[in-house]
Amino acid sequence: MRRKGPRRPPPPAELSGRLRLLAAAAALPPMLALGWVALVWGPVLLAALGLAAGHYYSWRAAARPQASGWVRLAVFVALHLALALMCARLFAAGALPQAEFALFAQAITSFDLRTRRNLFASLGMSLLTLYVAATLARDAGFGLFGLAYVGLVLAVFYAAELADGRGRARLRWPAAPLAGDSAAATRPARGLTPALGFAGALAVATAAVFGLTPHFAGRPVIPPFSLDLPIPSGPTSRIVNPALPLVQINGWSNATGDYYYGFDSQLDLSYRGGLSDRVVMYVRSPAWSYWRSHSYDTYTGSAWRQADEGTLSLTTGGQGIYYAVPSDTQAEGEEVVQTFYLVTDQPNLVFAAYRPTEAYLNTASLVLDAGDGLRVGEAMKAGTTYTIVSRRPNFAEAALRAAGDDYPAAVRAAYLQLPDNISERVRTLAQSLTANAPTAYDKAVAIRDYLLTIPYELYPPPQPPGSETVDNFLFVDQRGVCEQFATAHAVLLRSLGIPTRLVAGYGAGEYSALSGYYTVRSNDAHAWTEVYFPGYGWVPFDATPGWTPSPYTAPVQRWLFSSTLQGLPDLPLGAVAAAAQALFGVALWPLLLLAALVMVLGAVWLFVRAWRLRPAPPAGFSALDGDRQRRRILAAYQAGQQRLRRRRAGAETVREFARRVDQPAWDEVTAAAEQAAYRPAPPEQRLAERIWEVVRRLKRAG
Amino acid sequence: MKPTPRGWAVAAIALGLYVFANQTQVGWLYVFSALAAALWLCTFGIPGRMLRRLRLARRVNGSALGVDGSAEYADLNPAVGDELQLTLTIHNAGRLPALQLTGADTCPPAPAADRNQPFFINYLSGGQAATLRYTVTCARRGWFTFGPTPLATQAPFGLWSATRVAPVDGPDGLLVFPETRPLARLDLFDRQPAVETSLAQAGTGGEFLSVREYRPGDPPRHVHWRTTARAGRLIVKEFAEEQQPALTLALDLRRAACLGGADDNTLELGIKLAASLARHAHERGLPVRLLTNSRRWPAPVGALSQWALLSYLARVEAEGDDALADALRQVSATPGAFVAAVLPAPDPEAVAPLVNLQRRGLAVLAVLVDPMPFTGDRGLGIEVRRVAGELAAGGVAVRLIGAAPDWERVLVTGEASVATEAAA
Repeated sequence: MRRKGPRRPPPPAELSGRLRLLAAAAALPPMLALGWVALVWGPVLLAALGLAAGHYYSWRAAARPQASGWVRLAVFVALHLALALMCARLFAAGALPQAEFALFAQAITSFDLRTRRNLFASLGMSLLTLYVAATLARDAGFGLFGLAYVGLVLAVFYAAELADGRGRARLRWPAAPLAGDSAAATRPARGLTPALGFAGALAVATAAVFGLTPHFAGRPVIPPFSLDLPIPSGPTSRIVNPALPLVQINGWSNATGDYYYGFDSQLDLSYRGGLSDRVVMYVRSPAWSYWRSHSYDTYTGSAWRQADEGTLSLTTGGQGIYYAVPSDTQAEGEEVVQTFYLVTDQPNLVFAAYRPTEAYLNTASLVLDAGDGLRVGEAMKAGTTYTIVSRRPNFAEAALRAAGDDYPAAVRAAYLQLPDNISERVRTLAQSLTANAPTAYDKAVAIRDYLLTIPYELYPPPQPPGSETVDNFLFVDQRGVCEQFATAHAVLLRSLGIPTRLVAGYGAGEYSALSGYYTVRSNDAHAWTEVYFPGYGWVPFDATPGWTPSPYTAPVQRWLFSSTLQGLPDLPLGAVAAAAQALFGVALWPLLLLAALVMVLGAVWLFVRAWRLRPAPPAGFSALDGDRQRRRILAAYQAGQQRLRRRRAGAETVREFARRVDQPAWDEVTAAAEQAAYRPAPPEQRLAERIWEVVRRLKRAG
Repeated sequence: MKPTPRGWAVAAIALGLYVFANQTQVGWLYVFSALAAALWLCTFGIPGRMLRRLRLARRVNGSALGVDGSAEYADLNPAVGDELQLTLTIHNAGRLPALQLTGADTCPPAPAADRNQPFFINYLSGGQAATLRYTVTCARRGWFTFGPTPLATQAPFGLWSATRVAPVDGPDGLLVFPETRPLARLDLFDRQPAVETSLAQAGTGGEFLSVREYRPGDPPRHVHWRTTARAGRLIVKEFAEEQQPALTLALDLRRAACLGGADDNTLELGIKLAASLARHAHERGLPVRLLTNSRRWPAPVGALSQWALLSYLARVEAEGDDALADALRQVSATPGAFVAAVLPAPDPEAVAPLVNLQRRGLAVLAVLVDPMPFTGDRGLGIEVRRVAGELAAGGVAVRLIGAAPDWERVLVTGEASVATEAAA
């Protein structure tokens, strides 16, 4: 093939040491961020050392006329070795093999950064590393790494402009620092105010764009570059979901182990004990919700169990990772896409916001149990990720009140069951609480509201053997935990002939608007009830004080300010908050608001001060505004004629007019006007000011 | 103002992060997307605003005046080979600093390699002025205009770029005189005494011519008292008009007389020779008149000052086809006068009038420029020598000047330089 035109010369090597140093420094915050969020400090340290060595080598090699072919070959081989290592760690169930590959790839490619384009490409790789770290970050502290990265990248851009300008220029200013130049000492300080002003404007603009940008909960997209590889089955199997739109390697397992109920096959209400604050999972959801796992239909008086062990196998929708979850109730409302990241090993239960319609998880089998819970064929290991698409039902009070009591026979049979040892006083209490409640919804609300008045206690007294839980809870202990509140609600409603079931799962957890995660801990495990309404299905109620009485899935929050409480960033400042409380007697947030106000006022003061201290134009620097001085002098000439009450005739020269006026002051004005009109050099500012003073003192000509 | 490729990349990153943020619902990606978008938006307008408040001024050799060769500013006219010190002052009349300013000041008289002077100013505070100084050597004669200076910046991070062609306060132009060199001694002016001659007409000379009656305005000291006493009325002395011999400097400005390259050609050398001859004549106290065959650049009439002559020689260019011989035939054969003809190209037609002037009693010097070093054409070299021979045979003093650097020595001594002989 004939070459078209001469070959373009290769781009020049980047020889600016400052630029290279800044680019190398900019690669560190993303690495450190990844180590901080993923706890992969070993690879981070190794990659950082490699990065430093690579940048140093690239800098020294840039001075050579050509890049070394051997080095490029070594980089090529090393990259593929790192890729192989990543695949091996995938099979070995490594923590974050893809993140580690990103670290090593950046360190390896740093040995071949010859041109500026290469350096900017390395900044792009750092951005990818930061992206990976951002998807794993859980709190606001990650922002410091992001700010550091952005600041260093801007420094790289600034240094690049500096290098370009100096490289092309034959003349520079300042040429060289002058000995004893006091002005040079003040120059950095004068540049600080505009820089701070720009930083402030940038912060405000960022906050405005962030707050005013809608957040669309995207459906999981299966990228075309997603690979399905067999991962050995067994306890180390993982189910990875392609909700994270990077290159995904999905592991699949054919395990079809025995299904078992969990948290446990039954819920023992006599259990006493607190749960830890260990993080169980992170949930990314655009809407607040309880994370429902399963329910129980049979109450024994001291425990709950699921009598109906029937399950419905769900079919995949393609590529083995999509399941449509059937629902025989009205599934209305908007979509809520939640992604669950399991931190600890979990039973084979799939958590979801009520009501799930689609499940994205890579498993050989997914079933729907009789209690509307989703289950997989094996326990879910830490690191598992899956996505659920739910439909948020709209439970309007008026609609629920009008639902009636025409319950299906299957529902009556399963969810009105009560043991024989339900006491009469329990039944009487139910009757008395709902005497004025005309509908099933009103009854459910009345009983719930009554239960909300009972104190919550994490460690209630042990239940006497042989006693019935609800009777003991309502009339003896009169305090308890969520299972007792939920059981009481269910039993009281069942005694009134309203189908109710106990549901288990997790509460929403703590939300961070910056990370987008709900952090769910062990002590977020919770139990609540669902009451059946014909035509609407199971409607959740929560009778436990301190929780959400009507735990419907909230509307999708597209805007930062959709929910003020949930929009506030969750800062890891527990110790600081406690200290503030102790020292100032107030909560932390008012102090933060006060600090923000002080910062804003301080910025305003700095701006006003800089405005007042701006340097005046040098006096007499007339050459740069010569036109203006000319106009001033000629305007003074005109004004002088008015003061003299005499006007130069059209055919009269200025000197003839001056002779007619016959005043020494006017001669001075005339000479200045001639200079302004005819002389090539612009008049001095001092001259213009002097002439105006003369004009002001003119007397009327005789 | 427009976004740079880097700016487009940042905008694309902002959009890409937003798309991925919606896909993953990662709050931090929304933050970074917003930060990238905010950065792109906040830097918009900064470069243009920086450039808008800049005021430029230029000084040439410390002067802001337009040097046009007039006598008033005579001492400001540089000549070819002289150094020019240019000062460009950039004043930031705004309140905000101006960053990373790039531009290029153009000095037309400078050699091609130095004509464009790119500059860079990293930081200029509000109200501050930056002064850039550089020195160039005038490489060309002529009238050069100083134009506006292009400015550009991509501050602060190279996301947006702005350009502006800024007017510059200062000299509109510069007239560069041709190079002149002192001549040690030219025997042309030694061939006859440069004395004043009295003419048979009344004038202001010192030689007594006659007497006449007094007219109002005659100086009292001119009264001839003896004749006045005899005549009974005022009689004054009358003196003869004196005329000083002048040098008529003839210069061939035909288009065909310009042989060689754009800047290094026979005409340029001829102009240097003519200027140096005129300078030497002025130093000897001789008036100089100019004679050319150019219609577009007609020679000024009468005796010219050195500066007027240099101003003329600075501007002329070769044009037309009129022969110099026609102009030479118009030279009045004033005894004792001098004629120096500078012929940048061989002109056989000029031989006859020059020889004729020589025979009529004028001192004639013919300065011929050898075209061969400029063109490499041996034929022209032969022809110019033939013309020189004919002139010499007619009694005209001839100087054959090549491309030697010491042409003033050759002009004075008549000895060809080694280089010229080798070329011949």
